[in-house]
This record gives sequence, C-alpha cells and structure tokens, in this order.
Amino acid sequence: MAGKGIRVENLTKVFQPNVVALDNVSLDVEKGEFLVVLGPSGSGKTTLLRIIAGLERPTRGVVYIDGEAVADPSKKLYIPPQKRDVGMVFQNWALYPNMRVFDNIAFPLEIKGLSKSEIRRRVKEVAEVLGIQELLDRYPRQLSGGQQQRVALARALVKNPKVLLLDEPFSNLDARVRVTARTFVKKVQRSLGITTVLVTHDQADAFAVGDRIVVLNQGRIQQVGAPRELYDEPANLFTASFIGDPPMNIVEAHASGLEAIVSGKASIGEGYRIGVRPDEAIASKTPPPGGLVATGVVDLVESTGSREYAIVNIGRASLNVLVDPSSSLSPGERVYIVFRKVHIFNEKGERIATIVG
Amino acid sequence: MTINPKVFLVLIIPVAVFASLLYYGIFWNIYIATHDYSPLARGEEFIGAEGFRELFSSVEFREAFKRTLLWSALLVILGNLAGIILAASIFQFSSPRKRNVLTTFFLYPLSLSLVVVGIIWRWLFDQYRGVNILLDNIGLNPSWLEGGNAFWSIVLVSVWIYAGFSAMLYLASFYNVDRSLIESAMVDGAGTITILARVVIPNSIQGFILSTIFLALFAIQMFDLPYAMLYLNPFTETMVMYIFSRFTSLYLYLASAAAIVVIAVSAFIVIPYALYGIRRWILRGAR
Amino acid sequence: MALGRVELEFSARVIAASAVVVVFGLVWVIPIYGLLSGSLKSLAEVQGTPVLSPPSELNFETIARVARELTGPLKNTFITVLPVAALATWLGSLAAYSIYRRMDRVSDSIMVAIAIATYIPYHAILVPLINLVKSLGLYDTLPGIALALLTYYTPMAALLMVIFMSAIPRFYIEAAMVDGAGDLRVFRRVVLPLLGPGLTSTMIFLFIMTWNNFYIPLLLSRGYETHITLKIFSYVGQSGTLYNEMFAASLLGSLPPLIVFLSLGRYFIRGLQAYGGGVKA
Repeated sequence: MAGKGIRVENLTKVFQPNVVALDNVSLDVEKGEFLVVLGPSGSGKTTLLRIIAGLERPTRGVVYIDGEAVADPSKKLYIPPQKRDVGMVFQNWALYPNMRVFDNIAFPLEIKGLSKSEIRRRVKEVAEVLGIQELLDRYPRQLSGGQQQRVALARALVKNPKVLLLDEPFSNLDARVRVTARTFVKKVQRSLGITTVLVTHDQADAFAVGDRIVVLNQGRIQQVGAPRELYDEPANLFTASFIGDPPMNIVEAHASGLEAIVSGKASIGEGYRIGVRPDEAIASKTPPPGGLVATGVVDLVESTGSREYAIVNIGRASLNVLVDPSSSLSPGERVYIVFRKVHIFNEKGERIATIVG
Repeated sequence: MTINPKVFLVLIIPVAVFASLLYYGIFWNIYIATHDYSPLARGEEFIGAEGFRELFSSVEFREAFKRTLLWSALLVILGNLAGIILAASIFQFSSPRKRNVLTTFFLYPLSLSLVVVGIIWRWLFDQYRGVNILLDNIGLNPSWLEGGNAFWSIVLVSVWIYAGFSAMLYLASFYNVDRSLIESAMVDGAGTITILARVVIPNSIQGFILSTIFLALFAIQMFDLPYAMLYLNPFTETMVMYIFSRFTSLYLYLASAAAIVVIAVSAFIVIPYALYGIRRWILRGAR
Repeated sequence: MALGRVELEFSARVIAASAVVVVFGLVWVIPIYGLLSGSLKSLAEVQGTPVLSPPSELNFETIARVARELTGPLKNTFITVLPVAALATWLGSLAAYSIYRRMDRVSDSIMVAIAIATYIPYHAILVPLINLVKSLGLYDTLPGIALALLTYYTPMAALLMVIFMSAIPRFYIEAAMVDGAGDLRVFRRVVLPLLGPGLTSTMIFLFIMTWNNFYIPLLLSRGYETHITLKIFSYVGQSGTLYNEMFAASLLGSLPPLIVFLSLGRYFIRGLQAYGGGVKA
C-alpha cells in the first residue's frame, strides 16, 4: 500500500511536556520526486524531517521509506537512523571538523566496510558530480559556505541512499551563492533521480527546487501542490499570505471598497475576506477599457528597482499594487486599478472563489 | 538520539560503581555511628543516637564544630572580598592577555599541595625570621602561630589559597555581563565606581553564589593545611581533624558520627547548589 | 573635553587597579620566593637569616641531596597518579557520553547522583574505603592508593566531562548516526576528536589534584614513601627540623604540578571552572 518513495501516515509528534509539533500529518512523496516542506519557524517542518531520518520517534503514526515501515509506535517499530539508508544535509552542514573533506565523504562508506580502493573510487565519483575534486585534501574550516554545502551533499549522496533529506540547506549561504546553489541542488537531484525532501522557511528556495510544495503551519498541512498551484490557488488565508512576495493584500470584504467589484460574481458573507496579490492589481492614470476596476488615491510609491509599487487607498482599504510601467504616480493622485485576480475567503479562512478579470 | 541501552549500561557502569562506593561510604558511616564499634565494645550492638549524644557532649568536638563553621564563615566573607577586589582589578585591564596572565598568577596556590603551602607559611609566620622582619619596620611583631592566634593566621592562609579561585568565578560572571550594558552606562555618564556598583556587581550574583558555596565547602573539609602547619593542635582542630584523630585512636563510632555531621553540613550547602546546577548537569536544555 | 575626562578617569582607574594587583601580587610572590631562597640556603643560613633575605650563595647541595631521597616517592607518585588521571578521565568520558546520548529520566538521575557525590568531602567517607582497600590486601600499596583515588576522582571526571561534552553540538552526532555510525563509532570517530581540549583539561585537573592529595595516601600508608605529599610532610616532623631540606623537598615535590600548571595553566583553569561551575566550558 505504501509507495516506493516516502509515505507518512497520520503522524503526530508531541514533545514533553505538551507541545504538539506535528498534528496528524499525512504525506506521500513519489519516487524520484523533489518535495519541499515550507513553513515558518515552529511549524514542525524540521521535526517532520527528523522523524523521517529517525532522529526523533513519532508519538503516533507510521513512516514508510521505499515501501517499508520504519517507524510505527503502535507496533513498537522503530528503525534507527543508522539502518534507514537515508542521506541528510544539516542546516549548518555538520561536517566533521577533525576530518578532511575526503574522510568526511568516505565516512559513510567506511562504516559500510567497503574496501579502501572502492571507497576511493566512489568518493572520487561523487566529488566529480559535485565539482569538489580539488577540495578533497582540505579541512572543512578552509572551505567557503557554498563549498561546505557541496561536501555535505556529497557525504549524504555517496552511499546511494534511498532518500535524501535537506534541512534548510541554503539558509546559511549568502544571497549570491544561494541562487546558484539552488540550481545546482536541483540539477544534481534531477540527474540522480533520488527521492528528496527539503525543508525551508524561504519560499524562494521552495519555488526554485520543488516539484511539489507542502505548506506546513502549527504542525498541520495547509496545502500540497505544485508551486504555481499554491500561488494561483491558495487553499486558505495562511497559504495565501505566506506565499508570494510582496505578500498578498488581505482586507475585510465588507469594510473595503472592493465589495462592489466582486458583487454579482460571488456572494459575500459575514467575516469574509478578499485577497489581492500586488502583482495582480495594476494602477494607472488612464482609465482601462474594462474588467474589474476600482479607483483610489495614491498614498505612497515604492520602487524595488525593476518595478514600482504603490499603496493605494480604496475606500477604507489600503492596498499594495503594481504601478503600470507607463505611468508615473505621485501621492495624492487619483488612479484606476485593474484587478487581474481576486480571491475570496470565507469566515473560516478557506478560499471559496477566485474571480478572474 | 537515543543510545542503545546495553551500550549505555556498559559505558556507565565503571563510574556508577565508583559513585556507589561514595554513597556506600555515607551509609556505612550511618551504620557505624549507630553501632558501638569502639575497640572496647562488646560487639555490634545498636546504640541509636548514643554516639551522637556523646559526640556533642564532647567539648573537643563542639569546639571543632564551632571552629569549622567559623572558618567557613570567615573564608566565605574574606575569600569573597579578596576575590571580588582581585576580579574587579583584573577586569580593569582591557587586554585579554594581561587578564589571563593575572588570573593564572593568582590561581597558582591552587596548584600547590596544601602540605607545601602549610610548610611555607609556617616558616613565613616564624616570629623572628618570617614576615615579621618587614612588619617590625612599622612596629608590629605579632606571634602568628601562638595559641589562639594560630587559627586566625591559618584562616588567612586559606584565604590566600582560595582568593584566586573566587576571583576567577567573579571574572567569569563579569565577562558574561553584556558589554553594551557597560557602554550604555558610560554613555549615560556613569563613572567607573558607579558602573562597577550598579551594573557589573549586580550582574555577578552567579559568581557570588558559586564562590560562596565552594569557599564554604573548602572550609568544611579543612584538614591538610592546619595539619601540615601545626599537627593536631587543639587551637586549630577542625571537624575532619577530629574524625582523623578518632579514627586513628579507633573510636570508630565517634569518627563516623562526626563524619555524618560533616556530610550533613556539606549536604546543606551542596543540595541548594545541586538544585542550581541541575540544568547544566542533565543537559536537557542543550538539545 | 568629555573625551579628556574619560581618558583621565580611564588612567586613574587602571592605576588604581594596578596598585591593587601589585600589593596582592607581593603577597602571592613572597611564599614562592621564600620557598626558592630557603632551598638554596645552607642549614645554618636558613636558621640564622630571615626567610626573605636572599641566599648568600647558590647552594645546590641540599636540593641534590633531597632529590636523591625523593626519587622513590616521586616515582611512586607518578606511577600512581598518571594512570589514575588517565583512567578516570577515560571512564568519565565514556559515562559522560552515555549520559549525553541518553537524555531521559534515568540518565538525569544518575548524573545528579554523580554530581552530588562529587561535592561531598571525601574526608568524611574515607574510612569504609580504607576497610575495602585493606580487605583487598592493598593497604600500604600503590594500587591501594590508586583505587581510593579512582573511587573519588572518577565520578568527578564524569562530571567534568559532561560539562565539556555539552559544548559539542548535537548535529555532529546526528550526522554520524545518519551516516550509519553505531554508538561506539560515533564516540570514537566524532565525539572523541572534538573532546580533545575537554579531555586535556580534565586530565590535567585530576593530575594536579591527585598529585597534591594528602589525606588519602596518609590514611592508606604506613610509611612516607608511597606519595610525595607524605614524603614532604615527613620533613616537617624530623627532630631538630632540617629546614633547608624541608624547603627543598617542598620545592621538588611541587615542581611537577607547578610545571604543568605554568605550561598548561589554561587547561587546569578550564577544569577548575568546570568543577566550580562558573562558566560553561
């Protein structure tokens, strides 16, 4: 019944005395898939990864790796990390400071009892894949962050594990290196076809590498889907506001001047909210030909370099919107705003409708 | 994270055996103290608190008991005082190297055997050939080791030994005081004394607590120093010396009863420390 | 102007601090000076001149003579104390590792019990230990003294090692587990190499403490030859005390711990700090 990748069933983890880190989480990772678990700190994402690795025991629920149960408290089953055949990259890479790069990578093979020549061959091989052949004689402290990350990846991959687990692997890299590191990790994962779970709080990481993304908050799965899906069709207010940069505008439906533009297309109940992404609402001085349009007054204009955003007051609501590149706005001006897409959330925070303009 | 229980057992057993022997020592003392084990005894007869009654009715033990407690109090007061003065002075030097050299220098008495320390100071306290040569110049010629004076002199020596330790604990606390606190006080126009009194010292409660606990413990187990200086001199006899003399004269139940008193007094100090130190020992916070 | 005031105050502050350090420093220097000069004087000069006056000539005769007399006890002390310090440190680090890895009620309780036992004065619980040593036929032998020292200092070593070990980040251990390493291999290949300074500190601390121990050898020996502190003490008691010899013995007997302290002082201090709980190592 369990797939060949990773399967997690009704997983709950309670830390003493009474902190629920994971609350009935179920998840399937296809073989060869790159799954990203995305969530703010304290969402339980690292705990989930550590339970898959075997570094924590679940309180309830079952974990399968490659079709075999590795943890099931109801059957007193717990396979320790040593026997799970997983590779893991830690947030700070955890390279053994007393060993050279070669010995760091060789360590998992040495434990398997491979011959010296076999170890050398496989370390060379993986070092080549990761482009770190020249670093093998160095100590971890002599490496840059990006290099350390590659070594950690090599150590995780060298034993050809069934699954690869990555715990915030990019958070300790500076912004420039981070971008190339993402592409690199994605490429390596693709070429090896290894089932991979990456945990991060950074949506840019998630979008860059994930085949699918799981959004986790307060120990519960909020939504699972392809990156585009999460962006276009957020299941609830949490995903809607957590994903997207700049963040989605969310306003009380009744209190805003926006009710009018959606009226007739969806019914607005008590406590409903409207969500609009800044990139899907465009402000300009010239009246648009049609669609979902509202008018407002510019309060503030900000530039991000390539684009300009404006805070516009529409009725009592204040929205961050994209400025039409052909017009230049200044505070106090009256502008037209065209909405490409408007999300409507009910009083429970679930998305019930999306209106496309 | 969990370790294989069998591996745990194998690794912990040697230490557990030795630690159990120490606890065995406590219970053995309780047994002996409540059973007549003197050489004249008829046998292993239960005597209950009889031994303790005899112990506390002995003038010698009562003196030793009071003297040990007085020693603790003096060492705590003077040791803390010297420690804090040394620490505050060392702290004024901004170069970490200088601080380390000075700290090490003031700690060196701890690397000497108490027997050696006793020998040196006995000689320095010599009426005619010791430090009195210097004190003569200002018209002083105390007889350091005569009669009751000996106690006070040896207390001073013990302060000399442990002041560096106390200073080290205070310095550790000082270093933990956030530099920005000190700097903001300076910006607010506070002088050195004010900064010390209002910012650094109040943040050094930890140093004070630790220093007090350990100075008290050192005083309670005082034996080597007075013994090396003056043997079993009635003016400097401590509780441990009393245990020693009763043990060597084979009054085991008295030795044990006195040992129980020493353990009880130590426990009185150690248990609050244990409650304080428990988080560090059990590592739960370090996860 | 404000700057000037700060600078003035700064220098006044350092001058005051220096004065304190110098005054205290003299009191700290005098004993070691007295020890040195006393060892270098002839008997007549020791008895006839003040402690603080320097020797009229450098007379190494006493030191050489005492050195011959101390050879046996020095050797005995080395062969007792070195294995004790090493073994206690080793056993202590094994226990510390198992406690560090287990982290549940059981290991917590064991740790607290060990710590408390360590702070109870050994003077009070030595008598049963002596009986034990006697019953093993080890009274007045080096193994007997070593056993008693081990009993007291092994739990202390475990306590120090737990404190040093808590400075090792757990992710190294976890990484090794994921890499497939068993408990013992994690210890040998990952923890032990990272523990170097902690092991050194604990061993040096124990070396100095056991070298200087007086009470345990005193109660476990008939003569004065088994431990250096006993031997030094024996010079105090001699009739018509040979003061110069007493100084020379004190000096020679203190040299090993003093040399260790002066060359590796920071390790000793770290051990002391761990014992005193002042700072996390």
